[in-house]
Amino acid sequence: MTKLRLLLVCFLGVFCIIILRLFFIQVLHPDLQHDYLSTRKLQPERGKIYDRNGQPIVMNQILYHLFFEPKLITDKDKTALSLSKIIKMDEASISARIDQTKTWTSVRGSVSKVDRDAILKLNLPGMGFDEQWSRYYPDASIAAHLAGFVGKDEEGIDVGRSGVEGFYDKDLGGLPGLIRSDLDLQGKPIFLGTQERIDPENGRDIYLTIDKSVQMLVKEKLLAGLEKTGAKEGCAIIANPATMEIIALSCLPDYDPTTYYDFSNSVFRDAAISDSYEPGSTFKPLVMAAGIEAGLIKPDSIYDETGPVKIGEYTIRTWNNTYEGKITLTRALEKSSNVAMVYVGSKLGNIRLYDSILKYGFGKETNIDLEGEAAGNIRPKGDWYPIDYATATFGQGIAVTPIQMITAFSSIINGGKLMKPYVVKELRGEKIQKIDPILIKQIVGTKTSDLIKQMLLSTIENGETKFLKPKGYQIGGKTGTAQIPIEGHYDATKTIASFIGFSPIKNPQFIGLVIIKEPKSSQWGSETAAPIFFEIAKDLIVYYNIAPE
Amino acid sequence: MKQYYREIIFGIFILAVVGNITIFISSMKLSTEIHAFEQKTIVLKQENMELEKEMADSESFLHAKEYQLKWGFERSTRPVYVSDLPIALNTKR
Repeated sequence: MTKLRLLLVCFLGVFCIIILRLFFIQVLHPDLQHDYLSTRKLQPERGKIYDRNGQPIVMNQILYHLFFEPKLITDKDKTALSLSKIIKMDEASISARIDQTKTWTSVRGSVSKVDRDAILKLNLPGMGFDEQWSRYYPDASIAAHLAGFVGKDEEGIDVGRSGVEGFYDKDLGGLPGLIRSDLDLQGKPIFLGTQERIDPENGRDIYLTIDKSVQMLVKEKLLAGLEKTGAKEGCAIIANPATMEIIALSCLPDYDPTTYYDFSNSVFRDAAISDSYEPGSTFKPLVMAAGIEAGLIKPDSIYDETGPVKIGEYTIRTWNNTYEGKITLTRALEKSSNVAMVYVGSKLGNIRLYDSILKYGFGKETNIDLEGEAAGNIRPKGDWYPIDYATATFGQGIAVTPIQMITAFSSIINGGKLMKPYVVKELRGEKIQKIDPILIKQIVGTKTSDLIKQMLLSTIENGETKFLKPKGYQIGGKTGTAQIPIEGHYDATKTIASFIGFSPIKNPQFIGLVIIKEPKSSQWGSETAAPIFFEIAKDLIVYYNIAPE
Repeated sequence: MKQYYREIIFGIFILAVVGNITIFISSMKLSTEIHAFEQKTIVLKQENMELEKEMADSESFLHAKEYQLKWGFERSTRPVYVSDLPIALNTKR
């Protein structure tokens, strides 16, 4: 019995210790439970962005956030001196952060792995690192506006801003997971304790329709063109006219997405989808196609170009104020005659002209899968005066976005199909989601489309300017020069020069739009935007292995 | 008989204590292993990401451009047949 009693006393003693400890943890210090039961959020990996050939455009990397625990730092001067050499921060700033009244101070974010390893080798006390997920761009700002960037919201959580990052933020972001587990004194999980884990769902990878090689080419040519013409801004879009897959889209000036916080908000705007402009003469083929489709005109219809046309108190002239008498409408397009376009507009009639503009998709978003698209500006029908109908025929008095312009123009050269433009062709997560081209509506018939293509070919072959186009190849296109409206008037010295073209004629494989704002070398699209387009087209013909026609 | 049962109960008690301690120790070992594997997985993921980054860097245009400038490739790789097509068009020069 003595032995059993001894055992009983031992058990009672152990139970008392356990009960006292539990009373201490659960009643006296309930806050300590956090040390035993840990709940952590498991961050998902943000989806990567690739080009159409699987080449990475946006990837992930882990950077480190360096912090001090100042109370543990023994030699303040040595710590500051050693760190200043590695993280390239002056000693005084580092010393200021070693405030020994505090338990934790932040030193610097975005420390690379190489720098972190170098710091760890120093074996200095009182410092540590937190991991930070960050985006990495192998080709820097090659597609800055298209890809967008990842910023932080008010709670410090990653949020995609602008471009693909903004539009597909939920797909790219994924879903965070959760881990709840009991930890021992060393912070290791207790196997027999609480163990709950919900794995994070990583973001889906995105495959763009963009071809990185074409994107690089377009950006380089546009940059060279802007330097040559002394223009303020510029945009170039290359697309497949049959599907409206965007192959390249570049607007300059752009920004470095890695250090987006160093740039002003104005450069984040993707002018290709967010800015409106007056398209000028590049609009003429659209009106011409509407006239042909309605059966009111033909490419060889004769117009008597005798002189300026008066609409109320306004006089409309040709760009060079010269008139050729009786000309065909093909010739009118070649010489970009404003007065002939007023004639085409009058044949169409105001209602049909206005409806045609809306039918091409102007005045509403194209719904391209990029964040920040604008609708342009087509005033309500009731606000239009006779002069507005006249100027609209040659692309003045209406505001369109570059993406609307290239989408509408594609429809008249691809057999009449208005397609929805898009930049993402595939989303890859657990399942693969393919994105197919979407037909919005049939705008003109195949016959009209073929006639317009021939007229646009003739515009390049017999136009006022002899373009430096590759021999043996057929390129169709149209130049445009629009004055910039400032406070209700046009400033003659400031223009937006543009060129829209495509090749080959029979079955166009690419369409390109180049827009440059306020060029200084010349105000004309034929002398500024067109050469940039032909420089791009020359290389695209080789890249796509297009045979001469 | 009574003594016999007592010994059996004592034996079971000892076995239970030993079993408990064994399970506890093995669970501690397992926890340590799980923790170690989790740490290794994290390190592997980081290494994987670093390798992916290096691969992307070596395939990037910036990298290619660096070598293009270094080796003077620009002029020799410029296609000459775009503006002069005697072969493609089957015409004489």
